[in-house]
Amino acid sequence: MLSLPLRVAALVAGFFAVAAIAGFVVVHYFLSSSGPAYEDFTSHVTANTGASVNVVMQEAPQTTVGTDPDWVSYFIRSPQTHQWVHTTNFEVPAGSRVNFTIYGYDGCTPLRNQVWGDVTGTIGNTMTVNGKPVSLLNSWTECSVAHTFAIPNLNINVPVASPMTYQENQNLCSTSPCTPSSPHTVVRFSIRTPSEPGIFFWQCKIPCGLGYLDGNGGPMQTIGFMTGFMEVVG
Amino acid sequence: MSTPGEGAHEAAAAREPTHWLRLLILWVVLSLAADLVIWFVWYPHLPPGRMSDVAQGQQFDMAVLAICGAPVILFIWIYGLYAVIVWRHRPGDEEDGPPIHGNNRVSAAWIMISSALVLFLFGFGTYQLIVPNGAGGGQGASPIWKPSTVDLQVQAIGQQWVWTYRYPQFGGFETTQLVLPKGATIEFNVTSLDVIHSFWAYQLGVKADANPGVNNIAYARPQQLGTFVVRCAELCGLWHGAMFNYGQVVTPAAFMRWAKTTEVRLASLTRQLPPYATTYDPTVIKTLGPVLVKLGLTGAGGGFYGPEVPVQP
Repeated sequence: MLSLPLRVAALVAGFFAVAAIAGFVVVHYFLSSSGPAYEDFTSHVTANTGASVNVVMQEAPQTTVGTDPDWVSYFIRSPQTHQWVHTTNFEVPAGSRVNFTIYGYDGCTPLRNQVWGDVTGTIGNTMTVNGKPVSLLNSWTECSVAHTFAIPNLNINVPVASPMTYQENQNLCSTSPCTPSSPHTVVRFSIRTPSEPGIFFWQCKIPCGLGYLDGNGGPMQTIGFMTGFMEVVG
Repeated sequence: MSTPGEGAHEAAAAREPTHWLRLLILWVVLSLAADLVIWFVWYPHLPPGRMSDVAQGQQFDMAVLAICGAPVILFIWIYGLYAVIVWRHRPGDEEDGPPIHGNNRVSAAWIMISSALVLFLFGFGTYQLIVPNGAGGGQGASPIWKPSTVDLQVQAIGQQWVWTYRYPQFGGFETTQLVLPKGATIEFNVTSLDVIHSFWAYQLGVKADANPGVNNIAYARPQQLGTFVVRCAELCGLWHGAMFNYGQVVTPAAFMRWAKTTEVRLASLTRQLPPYATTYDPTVIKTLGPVLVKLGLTGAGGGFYGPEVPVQP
């Protein structure tokens, strides 16, 4: 039979052990799971002045920088280091113009709903593909669309053009982030951000989660790959 | 001849008030008051409002439910409180109450009132399903209850994670805007392009599952101008919670202006869409361009991955 002090000590030690485990679970699984980093495009711009910021992104056919090399993914070029960062979250100033450049390195695939071939919500409801103005891409009759960049709550939809020829689509970039030596297109468009702060999710509307049920799992459901947040900062 | 004890018992029983009458009066008065409050104060504010005929029908149903339910709840509370206050055990009182087992009148009244209430609700519910043509719920591709005329067909298409709408009577254009004319009987044809969604136009009282490859029809007649919310009511993936937008009920003239303008504005896009149909299978596209065919594609992404690809939830 253990002595009373020993039993009390065991009870106290047990209590602290359980508390430590609970604390670890809370910190590790709840407080630390903040997701991919936010790229900050607001540092040199005052909100609601109509100023411009430039956001540069690319979509790659794979993610060789992470643990899911088969997943397609977007990357964002850091405005501070100019290096490609594996994230899909970014901050932009409220009441400003955001000029997007998206490098499309992935191959073409028909849209599930051709309505997303229409460019909406951008300034002028248009974009440029390799310098040429475009407002509508037919992804069914042409090899023209790889993914989309859409912010449904702002009615923004941009079909991101793909390399168009058979040869280009057979020789896509194999290491991400991709470099300009691989076949690609350059898509440019601009939007105006709301004057009030807010967080808006964005997504790709092509079910590009290869290997998942109906293509809608994996990168389609994971922030940091084919979906993320645009935070409008006041 | 009664004993002295029995005489005292009878005398005590004679002094007892008529409890059932007290309870009945309390219950009738409070139930009437509650039902009047429900009808005149609560009913006009019950969800989902009166923006359409089916919404108004649902509001009426909720009011009837509340009016039927309030007396039941009140009866339980009144009886319970009365028992606690009046019939509670007092010091020195060790006598049992009179037995109620075998009271045929109470049993008969209980069965008859319950049966009448259930039969009334059965008849009322059935009538309310038929009269507003399905009461706003999806009835599948062949509705049992149809309105005599349909003024406007609107197709609601669910896809992760946004709703689009096609207007077959205006060239079949497709848009993210849902605009409806006041006073027109609308036939919603609801379907999906990927997973299971549910089209829930809350203030219109319309809620119909959106299943891929299935047409689900619901009816409504908007009767108030204004804005209503459309939500997805079926957990459908990461951004299910953000799958909502706003629809508008406008005057018939404003609707015609909007529809004709949009038809013209989207004409080039409409030409690229598949012909209007009640369902779509984007995994099989017959008009694929030569490069896409050469790349081995047969349809749109999602759902066309072959058996060599491991399927995961």
